[in-house]
Amino acid sequence: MASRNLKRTKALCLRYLDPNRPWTGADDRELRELVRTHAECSDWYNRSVSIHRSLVGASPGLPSAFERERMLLATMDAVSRAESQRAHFGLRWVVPLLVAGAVGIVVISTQRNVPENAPALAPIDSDYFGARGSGAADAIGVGVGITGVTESNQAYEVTASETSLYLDDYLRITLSRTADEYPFVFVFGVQPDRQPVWYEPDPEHGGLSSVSVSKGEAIPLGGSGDPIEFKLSGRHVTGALTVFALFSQKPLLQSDVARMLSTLPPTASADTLTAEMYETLAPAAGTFIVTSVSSVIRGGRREAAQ
Amino acid sequence: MTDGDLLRDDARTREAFKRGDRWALTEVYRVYYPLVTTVVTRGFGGFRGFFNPADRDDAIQSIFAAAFEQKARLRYNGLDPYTAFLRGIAQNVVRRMLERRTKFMRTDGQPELEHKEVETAEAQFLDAEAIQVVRAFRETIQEPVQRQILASYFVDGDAEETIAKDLGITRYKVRKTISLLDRRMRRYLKQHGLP
Repeated sequence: MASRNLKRTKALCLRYLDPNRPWTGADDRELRELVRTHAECSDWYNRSVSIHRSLVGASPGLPSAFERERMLLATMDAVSRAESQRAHFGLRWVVPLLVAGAVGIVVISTQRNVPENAPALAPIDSDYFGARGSGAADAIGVGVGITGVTESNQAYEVTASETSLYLDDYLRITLSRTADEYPFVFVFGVQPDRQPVWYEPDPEHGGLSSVSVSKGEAIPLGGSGDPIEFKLSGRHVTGALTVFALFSQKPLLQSDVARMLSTLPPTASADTLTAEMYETLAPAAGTFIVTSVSSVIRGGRREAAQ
Repeated sequence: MTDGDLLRDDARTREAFKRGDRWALTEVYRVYYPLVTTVVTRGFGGFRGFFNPADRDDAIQSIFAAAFEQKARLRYNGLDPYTAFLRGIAQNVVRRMLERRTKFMRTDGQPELEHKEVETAEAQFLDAEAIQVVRAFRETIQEPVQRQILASYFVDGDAEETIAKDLGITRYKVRKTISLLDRRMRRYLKQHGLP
């Protein structure tokens, strides 16, 4: 009977070699540790990667390009976590000072770089779970919306009256742009106490900066013909989800956005995040506006029905 | 990389690397990856390199983890070639790995030729029949686009965007094809009783 370590190694190897599943620094650390310390796990790893390399036609002695990308991502993830921990350690000492001025910062910074005709942002705080924006462009000329798509390809718009997504469904993100001054967009999701989910650009797929966004109403990421849908169970958990779309005149670097987020507490509210984005990212972005839509992810549909 | 040295010659990348910018770390990983693999596969001094994938991959990850630590990033002076600096880190990491373990043989011989190690490595973990079976998988892929994506994505490491552009299809189609290929590989292995 396979030992617990071997079972875990098998599961991790399956995940490691599966292009549809994410691979984190923690996964990589765990797998390497098991392989380093247990001969049976090492044997399994050697066999699994040898098969993978032969299947795809790569050199058997070295990681395939696919494995190399997994290894690179895991390294980046580990560095990012280390930097984030260092930043949070530093924040422990300055937070009490910053809290006193926080309200002022929010009020001032949310107005920065926003056109004069821009409407005030709707108030959102950590208790706000309603969806904002159906993806239609409003007076500011840009908008973001989200749609849930079931396994059987039935789409349901997430609106104020129906705010839930289900973990076993897919997420479709729609963007609208009528204004000329925001040709680029950067889209990511935030859940409390979790690492950001990068939708577009996605560093796991080579995306390093904002992507160009076509003019039009409620156009899904990936285009209307082939919309990109994100399996919610892949990189999300149940709970609040806020999807941010940062429209800008110049493309934003993914590393800049990641660094900005890493300096904030993992439970920061959407308000705080929005304020920090204007404060930190606007100088590099040229004309810049932050839009967001919030919802709640519930467990599987089968569980919900019971 | 014999003439130029990215981190020594490119001040912008060097500064971004020292700050820990993701794009710069990614670039450094890609550019210096061949150097690191040379150290772990061919060795140095009396060490002839790691033999199996588990040890090689572990060493590669451990070397980059050490090189990307903030202290190590800041210690690089920007004047000497980074290749020499990274080689020093790599050798220290490998020495620590060897000290922790006793299963690696040290010899004073010359490094083996790489193609010989490669063939032996594959044969050690898969029996001859299994090697034949997995190598035959690619012959089952008839669709030209799928064959191209198998090679571009899994072997050459091209980004999805690049593949999509080269093939004149959408990125979503590329993703779908990668998923399809993955499913076909798993089904193929199952059919042949391989894990």
